Amino acid sequence: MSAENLSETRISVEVRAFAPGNLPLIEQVKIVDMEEQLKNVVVDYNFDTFSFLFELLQKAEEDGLPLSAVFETFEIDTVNLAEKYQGTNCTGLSMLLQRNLREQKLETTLVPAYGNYLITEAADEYAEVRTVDLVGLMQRDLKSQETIFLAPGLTIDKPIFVREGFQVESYGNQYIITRSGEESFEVASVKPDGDIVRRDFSIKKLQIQINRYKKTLLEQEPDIR
Amino acid sequence: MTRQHKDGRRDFVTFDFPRRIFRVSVEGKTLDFDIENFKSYVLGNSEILGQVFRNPHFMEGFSAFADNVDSIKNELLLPEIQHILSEIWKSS
Repeated sequence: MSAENLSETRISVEVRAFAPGNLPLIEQVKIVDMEEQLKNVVVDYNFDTFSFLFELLQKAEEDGLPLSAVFETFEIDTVNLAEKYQGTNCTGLSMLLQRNLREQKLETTLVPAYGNYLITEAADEYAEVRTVDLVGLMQRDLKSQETIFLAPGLTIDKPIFVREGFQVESYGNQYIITRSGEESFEVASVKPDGDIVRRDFSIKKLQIQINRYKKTLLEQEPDIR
Repeated sequence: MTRQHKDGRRDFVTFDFPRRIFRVSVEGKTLDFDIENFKSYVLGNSEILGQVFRNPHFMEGFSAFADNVDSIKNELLLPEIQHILSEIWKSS
C-alpha cells in the first residue's frame, strides 16, 4: 500500500437517529450491578491501543507478509483483542462492558463523541469519532426515566446521569454533564491542573467502516427498537 | 498502554515516533528509552512489567513493535501526521 493510498483511507462513520426511549428500561435497583460491571472493566482491562499493532505484527510474522499487506485484510475484533491482551481501545472497552451487561439483561447502546482533538486536521478526518462509550435508559420512578452514560473508554468508573450539571469524580478528574439535550450532551473533563477537555456525545446509533477497505469495526448490534 | 489502579495510580507505556523514544511510567517513576535500551529494559524487567500491565503478550508484543518501528512508521502512519509531528518536535 503506497503512502498516497494510505492517505486516502478514511474511517467513515454512519449514524442513524436513535431515541433512548426505545431502549429496554433498566430498573433503578440494577444501577449497583451496572456500576460493579463498569468498575470491573475499568480496573481489570488496560486502555491499550498497542493491542491492535501487536495483533497486526503477529499476523504479519505468521503470514510472512509486509504490514501494509496484512493491514488490508486485517479484521479487527476489539472485544477479542481485549480478552487476548487484557486491554484495548475505548470502543473495545465499551463493547466489552456492553457484552457483560447484556449477560445480566441490561441493555445499552454505543454512542459516539465527535470533535477535533487529534494532532492534525488530517488525523481528525481520518477517524472522525473521538470516543465511543455507552448509554442506557433507567426507570427513575413510575413516571420518569433517565439516560445513563457509561464511559469505560474515558476511565470513568461510575455511572453518570445525563442531566445538566451532574458531576462525578473518577481517578482524580471531575466529570460534568453540560449542554444536555435530546440529541446530544457534553462531558466536560476537568483535570487536577484545571485543564478542561470537552467531548460532545451524540445520542445516535453508531456504525463505523473503514471506507477504503469496507471494514466494519463494530459488530452489528441487535435491533433494539 | 495504560494500567489504571484502584487507588488512582496509572502506569503507562507510550512511543514517540518522531523522537523514536519509548516512555515508561511504572510505580511513579517515568523513564525515556531509545529503542535498543527499551528492549534491554523490557528483557531485564519482564517480571515486574508483566505484573504491572497484566498483558500476557507484553514481551513479544513490544519486542515485535521495537523491531518494526520503521515499517510501522513508513507503512501505517499517515504521512501528513508524521510531518506535523516532526515539525512540532523541531519547534519544541
